[in-house]
Amino acid sequence: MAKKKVQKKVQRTQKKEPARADKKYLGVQTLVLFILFQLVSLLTVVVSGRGKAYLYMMIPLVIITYGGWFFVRKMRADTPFFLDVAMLLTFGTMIQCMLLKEDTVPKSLLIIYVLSAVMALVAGFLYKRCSFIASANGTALLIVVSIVLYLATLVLGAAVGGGVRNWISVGGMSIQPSEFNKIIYVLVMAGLLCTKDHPGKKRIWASIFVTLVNLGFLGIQGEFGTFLLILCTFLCLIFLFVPDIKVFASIFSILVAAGAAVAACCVSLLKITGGSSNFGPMQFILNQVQKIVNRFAVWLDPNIDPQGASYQILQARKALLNSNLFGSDTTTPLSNPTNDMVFPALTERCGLLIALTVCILFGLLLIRGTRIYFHCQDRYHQAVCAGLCFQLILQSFIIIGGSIGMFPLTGITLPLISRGGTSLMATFIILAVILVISAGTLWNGRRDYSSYDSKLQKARAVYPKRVSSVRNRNRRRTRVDDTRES
Amino acid sequence: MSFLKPILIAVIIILALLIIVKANRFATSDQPSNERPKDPVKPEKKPEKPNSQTPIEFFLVYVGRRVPVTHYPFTIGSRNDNDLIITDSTVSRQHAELFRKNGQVCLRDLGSLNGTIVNKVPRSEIVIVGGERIQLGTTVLQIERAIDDVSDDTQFIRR
Repeated sequence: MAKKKVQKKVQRTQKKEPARADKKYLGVQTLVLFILFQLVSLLTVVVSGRGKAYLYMMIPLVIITYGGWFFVRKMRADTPFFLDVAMLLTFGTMIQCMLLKEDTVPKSLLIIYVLSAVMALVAGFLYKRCSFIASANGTALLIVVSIVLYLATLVLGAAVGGGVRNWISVGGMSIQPSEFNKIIYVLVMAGLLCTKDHPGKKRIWASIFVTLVNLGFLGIQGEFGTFLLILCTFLCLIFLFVPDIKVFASIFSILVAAGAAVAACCVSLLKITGGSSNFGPMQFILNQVQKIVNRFAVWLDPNIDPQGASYQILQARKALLNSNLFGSDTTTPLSNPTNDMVFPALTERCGLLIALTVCILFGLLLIRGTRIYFHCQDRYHQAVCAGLCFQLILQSFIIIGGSIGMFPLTGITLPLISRGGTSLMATFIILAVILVISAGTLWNGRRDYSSYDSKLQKARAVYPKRVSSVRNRNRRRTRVDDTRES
Repeated sequence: MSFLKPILIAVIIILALLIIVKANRFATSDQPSNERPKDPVKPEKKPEKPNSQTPIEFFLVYVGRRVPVTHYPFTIGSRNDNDLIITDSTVSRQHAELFRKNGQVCLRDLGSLNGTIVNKVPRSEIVIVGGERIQLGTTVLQIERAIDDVSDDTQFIRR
């Protein structure tokens, strides 16, 4: 054992290049395996009776996977990360085709795939070139854009099922701006917290304020899945990128206390007023609280309202019970099988083993994301990578847990597998940005040093005629000054 | 036809697992397994480069001595396998490194504890021109561009 360790050390020290320099060069074997994998998935869908639809879907799928692979190779980005994503996407396309009602050309799915691929290309290119977004001006612009998106949702928003007003229709397509706001939020937080070595009090307060604005808008829209997501991302970024752990501890404890207090207040309010009030905003708040309380009640005991609120959960559990290792032939009707309840549908139609593989793939995405995070040279890109990756994994975790009954169900999509058009676009943008970061040759995110240099000189300068020079004469000298004289 | 589906799904899962194992290559990147046969060839060529008198571009002035930067990457740190060894408790074991990037020489901080401060500004990576003042921990190095006369102290370089 000891010898082995020594050998390892010698190897490590002899190789002067950092580990990222020799990128994984995956051979032909993987390519052949991947082509086989996609062909077998095609056969599976043909056997299930949706062969024509999947043949048409193969066109964008093949272009996205192999074109993406080509770009990733050319950029020298993280190929394993991309392969995991491509496999997830193949599984997603498979289940979407199986869930189609009849065997025709799925036009809307085709449009969604093409659009999101284009968006991913544009986003990757922009992120590679656009060092502007890490500066103070860029952050301000991003905040304004996100607020405009929120306001647009509030003004133009059309209510779609369940009273959630988070859709705006642009050119015949409905878009969910909160999906883009998640990405913008991560960029803003990275710009605020990570363009300096030690973010000061001002920046931390600014980031808290931005978070509160985001959370407020999401609360008004009644979108509590994204609400939870942004809250967790905030905690994660504060934990990783504020060097002082006290800040995280205090924020966390305040959040827990405030959450408990707000929950207690809301529940008691609900009991006092009985769920109805004459005052408009009050009624709105009561409705929202009632909704969340219902979610929890349904989660704890699904049998209270089997035809209404808990129908979704009950059907999901039936589907899970109906599934076997390799997929059952009988299907249970699910309430929203393409979006929220895609995981039970996948488990039922393709079997437990594929569902398990999907879970493993999401876990691998987390591992690869962590590797990319550790290999980053720059703190800004580290923050963006960490935030986006964390969001992606947390989203899948929440919805898988929700649909199998671990948590109360919230209406967010399973990334890469659900059908949601905007969600797929946002996921593709996130993945493109992470892959560009993993390629490594990027601009330096710490942009505040241009002024930092002169600020330091100003602080050191001595004005002999001013009172401050007398006051500062006995000031304790910093280490930089000490070493200069020695 | 229905009996085919379980078989196909089993095949899919086997293929997926194979791709996962192939792609993620659970051995760490520090131990390249396939590139070993190439390595014995390279070291024979490498030692020739310093002998063939590549012109020395930079000197590091360390406690009054001029240390030539003979090869890149040139590592600086307190551990005794570095090219320039600085025995200082505030200098990390692997502190910084000079390397070539697009024809320029750059200084990079190797994740040190106390950071690398170039001209009073903490940097993670910066292009070196000559005349910089580098502070590693509490030790200060000055970078000099080479002029024609070479009067160096080579005892600080690992051979």
